[in-house]
Amino acid sequence: MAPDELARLFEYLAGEGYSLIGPTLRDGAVVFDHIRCPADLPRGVRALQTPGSCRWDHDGDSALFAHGAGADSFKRHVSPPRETVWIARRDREGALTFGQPPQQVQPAAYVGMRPCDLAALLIRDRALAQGDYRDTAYVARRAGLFIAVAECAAPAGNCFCASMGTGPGANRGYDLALTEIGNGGRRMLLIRSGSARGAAALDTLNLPFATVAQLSSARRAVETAAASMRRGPTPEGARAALNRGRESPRWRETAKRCLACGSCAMVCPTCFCHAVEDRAGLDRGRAERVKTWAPCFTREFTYIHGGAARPSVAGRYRHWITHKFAAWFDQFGVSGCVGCGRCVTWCPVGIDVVEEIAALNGAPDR
Amino acid sequence: MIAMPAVPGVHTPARHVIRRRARETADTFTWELAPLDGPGARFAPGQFNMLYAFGAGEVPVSISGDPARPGTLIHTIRAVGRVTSVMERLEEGEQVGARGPFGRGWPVAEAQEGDLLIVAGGVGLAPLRPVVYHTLAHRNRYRNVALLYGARTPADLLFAAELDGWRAIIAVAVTVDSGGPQWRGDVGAAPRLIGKADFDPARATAFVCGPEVMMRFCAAELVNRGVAAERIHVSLERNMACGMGLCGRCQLGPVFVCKDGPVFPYPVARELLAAREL
Repeated sequence: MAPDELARLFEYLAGEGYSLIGPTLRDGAVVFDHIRCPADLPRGVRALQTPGSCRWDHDGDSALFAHGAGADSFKRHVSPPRETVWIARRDREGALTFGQPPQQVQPAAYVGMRPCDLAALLIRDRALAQGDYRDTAYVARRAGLFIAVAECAAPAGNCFCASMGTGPGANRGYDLALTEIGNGGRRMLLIRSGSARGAAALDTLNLPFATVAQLSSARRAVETAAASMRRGPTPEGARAALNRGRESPRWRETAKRCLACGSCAMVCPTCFCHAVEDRAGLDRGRAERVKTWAPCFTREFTYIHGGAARPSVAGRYRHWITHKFAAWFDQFGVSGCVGCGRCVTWCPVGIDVVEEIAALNGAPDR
Repeated sequence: MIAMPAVPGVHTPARHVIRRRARETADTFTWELAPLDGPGARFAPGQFNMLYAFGAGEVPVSISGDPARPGTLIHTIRAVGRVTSVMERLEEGEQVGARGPFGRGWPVAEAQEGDLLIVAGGVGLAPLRPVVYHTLAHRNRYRNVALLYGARTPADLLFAAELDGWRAIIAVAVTVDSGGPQWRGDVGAAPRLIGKADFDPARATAFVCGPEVMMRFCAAELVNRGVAAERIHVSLERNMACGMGLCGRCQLGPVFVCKDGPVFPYPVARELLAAREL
């Protein structure tokens, strides 16, 4: 379909009761937030990303989904940064009651979700929605999701999803997959379904079938993106490097640069660790338990009577990257990294996980 | 629209009333909690609950009561932080919350038919008391059973009034780091009791709970005496905010202490504790 016809998909999804969420340019940065129509998509926006830096330019092209990964992601929508877990009430006699916040979840449709982020969502599912204990709020939000993934033809400078096997194409977990081909006025969107809900959407949209030439052009776009992307570690390679490198002198070197600010964990789409705080009302009759994103880079994160389990920055950085690339396998059966490059881009001092893992392997990357 | 169902007693606290509150030592007290929403949850020795004091917060505390009597929830708490200090001031009749029980406890079945050594340091006896109760109730399932208990001073001994009663059924040996003029018992570190206990290393299982350094020395001594490392189990402690493996706080290398532990076979714990700041 022509890009303008995307409006019909937006209308269809809104008609089905979904609130639409997708990439959009706000205050000069690409965010993943509520959108109304295709005009809200970041058309022609391209990311220039290097370790510790990101800038978005209009490149004169009309691509809708060439904007790269912003600091923001779907994470904020499935696991809000601040979330009330329960509300405790105490009456005058001291009797307690525990309730849930009066919150209802409206099903959301993610239009233009990146394949790396879709992979991150599937990984997040393993951590929060598939174990013996589940994050019930996450499960409810997740169950209502309609996902229209946009395959990536324009990876940014810090991306390494091809190495991690999570992109730039999408092969599962979506309801619809969009692929942009052509350029300028000849730009087209190919759309395919990956679920019954996606197929029902396509039935309603009643679009013409893609030609063989268009299909091969779409395949080429994804293959070219993969080939042009920088190389990172493979999931198994990173795991082995970190398990071998537990006592490496590299940790102390990296700790000299690491500010322990936690930006990497905050922008990471799979990082799920959190803190809780209990906030009592002034009337002493109501106390709220609030869950907040918490990076593993603070002392408080591991504090227990007498001290922190990881007092040094070296210990905390090692924990973060080792959990992400190695322990995740033991815990959830997959790597916790999708190669989206966010932790590299938004590290204020430009620490690059690809370089760190290469260094543990004894082979500086550049 | 989709509702968000949470499981009471798991995701949100189940209400309990403090039926009895007893002081154990200068900084440690025991709560007897009666559940207000149905019967109490069954638990295995070594499991813990997330206890909630209104407005103050939650802390993970192991269950120190009798697993055969799940209707009464018993917790022994040391006031060491903000939340536990609030808990220390709560009176009988006041209400608190509890989520759980969580975690993997002591493998009591694995120890059957052999000798069982219950090695505790300080407040570490609290998570082991359910094991003591279990062995008292099922004494014939085990050969020799010995409780080896070390504390800093006689005043720091938990459950002192019960120790004599236990002596009638299992061996009990107590030592303190510093005894004072009235003390007639052993003085010295807990590992020293291991040498005096009567057990067959080839058929013995040991459950060890106390400060990490104490567990390390006790486990080393047990191995030294010929107990297989994999038949030694220790209980670890880490920061926890959920108890369910969802908050990520208690990670120790690849394990979540809350759901993979808190009780671990010693070879696993030794490996995890060998690396600094894991």
